[in-house]
Amino acid sequence: MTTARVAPSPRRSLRAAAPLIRAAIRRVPTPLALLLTVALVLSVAWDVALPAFQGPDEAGHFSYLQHLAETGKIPSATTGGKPNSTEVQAALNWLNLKALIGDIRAAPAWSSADLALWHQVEHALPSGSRGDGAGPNALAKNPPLYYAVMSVPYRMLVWLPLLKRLFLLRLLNALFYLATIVLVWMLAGELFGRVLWKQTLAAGVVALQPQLAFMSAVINADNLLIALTSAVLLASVRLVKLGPSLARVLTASGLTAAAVLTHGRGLVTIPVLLTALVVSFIKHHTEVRDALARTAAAGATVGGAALAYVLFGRAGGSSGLYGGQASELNAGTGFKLGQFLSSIYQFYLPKLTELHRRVGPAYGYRQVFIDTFYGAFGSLEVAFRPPIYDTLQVLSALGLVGLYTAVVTHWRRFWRSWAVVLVMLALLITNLLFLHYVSYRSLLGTGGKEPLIVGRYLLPMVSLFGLAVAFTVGSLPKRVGPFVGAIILAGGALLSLTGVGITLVRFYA
Amino acid sequence: MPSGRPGSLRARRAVAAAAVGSALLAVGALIWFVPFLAHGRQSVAEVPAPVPLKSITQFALAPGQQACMSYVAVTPNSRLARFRVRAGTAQGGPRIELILHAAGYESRTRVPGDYRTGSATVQIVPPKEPLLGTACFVDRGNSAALLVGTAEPRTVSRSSTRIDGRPVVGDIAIAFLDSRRRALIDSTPEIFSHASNLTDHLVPVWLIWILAFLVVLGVPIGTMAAFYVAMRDDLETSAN
Repeated sequence: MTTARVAPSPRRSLRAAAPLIRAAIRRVPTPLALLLTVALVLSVAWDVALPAFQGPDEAGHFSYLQHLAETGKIPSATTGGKPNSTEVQAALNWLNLKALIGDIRAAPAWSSADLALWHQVEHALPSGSRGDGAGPNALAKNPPLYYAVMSVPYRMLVWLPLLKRLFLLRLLNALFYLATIVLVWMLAGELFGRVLWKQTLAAGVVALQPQLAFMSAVINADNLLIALTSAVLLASVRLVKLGPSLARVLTASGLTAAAVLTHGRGLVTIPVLLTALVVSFIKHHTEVRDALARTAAAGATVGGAALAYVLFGRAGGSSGLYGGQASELNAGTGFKLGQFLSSIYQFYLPKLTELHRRVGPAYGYRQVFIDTFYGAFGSLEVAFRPPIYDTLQVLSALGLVGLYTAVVTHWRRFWRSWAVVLVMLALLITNLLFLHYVSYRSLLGTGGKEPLIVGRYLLPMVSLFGLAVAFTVGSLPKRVGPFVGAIILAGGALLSLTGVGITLVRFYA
Repeated sequence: MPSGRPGSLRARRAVAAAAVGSALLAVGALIWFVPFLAHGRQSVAEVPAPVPLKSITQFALAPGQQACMSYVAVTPNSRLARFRVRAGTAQGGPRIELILHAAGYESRTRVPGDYRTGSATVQIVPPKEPLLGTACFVDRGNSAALLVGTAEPRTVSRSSTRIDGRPVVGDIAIAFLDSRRRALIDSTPEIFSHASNLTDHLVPVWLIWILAFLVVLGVPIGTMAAFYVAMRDDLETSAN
């Protein structure tokens, strides 16, 4: 005798889940809910302010996503007759969006007559116009996770015209930004305990980081990478704090694998995971056999993901495993350790007489850590006024002095938290070394023309930025700290509004 | 009551911190945003073809010849046309006529001769509504007219250019401007309309207005409210 089981209808399932969802929402602390609302509003505003394909390399990222979603294949990095699909290329041409990229003197075709013309062009596109962007696409060397994740909403929205589809995809992309804010909130909770104002300050600084909010409205794999790197940091901190249980090891290594499958710059999470594992084993006196088993589990997770990528990439005809910054890891020849170290020194500090001139243009701390980290929008052509960057540079220097002072005055607390500190340092140091190394390689390979790195490559460490601000401000006397925190958040809100405003004016006024 | 004082002091501190942040936001908005929004500026109506980024392409017209660009959008705010010319001879360049033509619309205007190399700005008659048409440059002088444009793949626009009917590579750089200097705040409806068009009206103009209010008021208020609630809840937690 068989028993027939009736599956619950979707409506009934939703009705059953509703109380759980309501309860989950009620559990979100009010300050976090407010910050997430603020961030969502900012992201939608950025989506409106930024015309299609005007984010960094956005056409290339969208084309990768589109080709994967339409055909199930990764586009080629080197071959093929069309970097973009016929549909995307038509929009770039007919709405003057191609000429607009990075050129402050161009404007998009923004009138109702232009839109009517675009409708005619779009309706006349032949079938197959969405799936024929097979390459060469320089971004095809990126691993596929971000594009695969975004393929799901793409397929759901495929019936919409291009501009509407892109707008909604960008909105969904904002989920990674919101996730990053939640992760920083949780990280602050792990580090400072349940001190809501410090958690709010850390997460608020991240939510109001203009470059991050801007990127949330751009189709770009960086968004998932930033969220995943923050998640790896949180998982690693929990690993060293609570001990290397199998579940925690698998969570941390699973997130690391996801970061590795998202972007070449995700490779920097591997040293973070390794540091967390070793520190956790030492701190929690793990037996050698258990430590080996857990290391093997972590290795298998990350290695399995990498292997899957190699096989998938080969099957899809992708000619390289990683592109962009990661491709510079072993590019070219002529590496000289002294020159490399000298280039790092001169990136931050004025040249000493004994040192050789730095390879490449005058490009250093100011351009990467200030100008393009706090905000350079569009394809870097939309920027705040120079005095704003000057102010940010002074305030950042003050913040660093404050952080140093806080560390020195709280050195006992730091010493007690050595395990967590080591994990965070691992992320900071590997990320910076990675970026300096690929920048140096790129400068060697391009005759000193292309330093390659910009401030948004620091965004995977944005959680450290938020935590550092909260720690420094939290170390101030109690009469002062909340005031400084409020001023910092107010400054962040002003910067964010300015960023949206100048971008809207640049593209539409 | 001594036992109640630290709590109330901290409560006052929470309010004061949020107030300081809000005051900074208000002052910042006043000294930062108001002049930005109120400053008079000449706005761009359309840029059918931008100037090149690096390499200039020169379009030469013999006397009587004309160069026409298609799919040029002209809007009611297009009151001035700006393009770049080169003198060619020591005496200066020849007269150039700019003819804008679309269904039910025509504008003819001339650049007087003997000009030097540089940018030429001429008044045009704006249409009543946005139109797509052609922009033709006609050499009305006795020497070659030299117009600056682009053949860079990066900056070439959708307009195809023909000289006396023969297609040529590249575009003559041209932009339409509004002759009126207007404060940014007065241009807001147009800015929002442009933005809405580029979302294919998925976000209508009225929704952008609502969004603008949410951004301008909601972001600062929401941020300060989050910080205040956090400090207040910390206070309640420590009191318990």
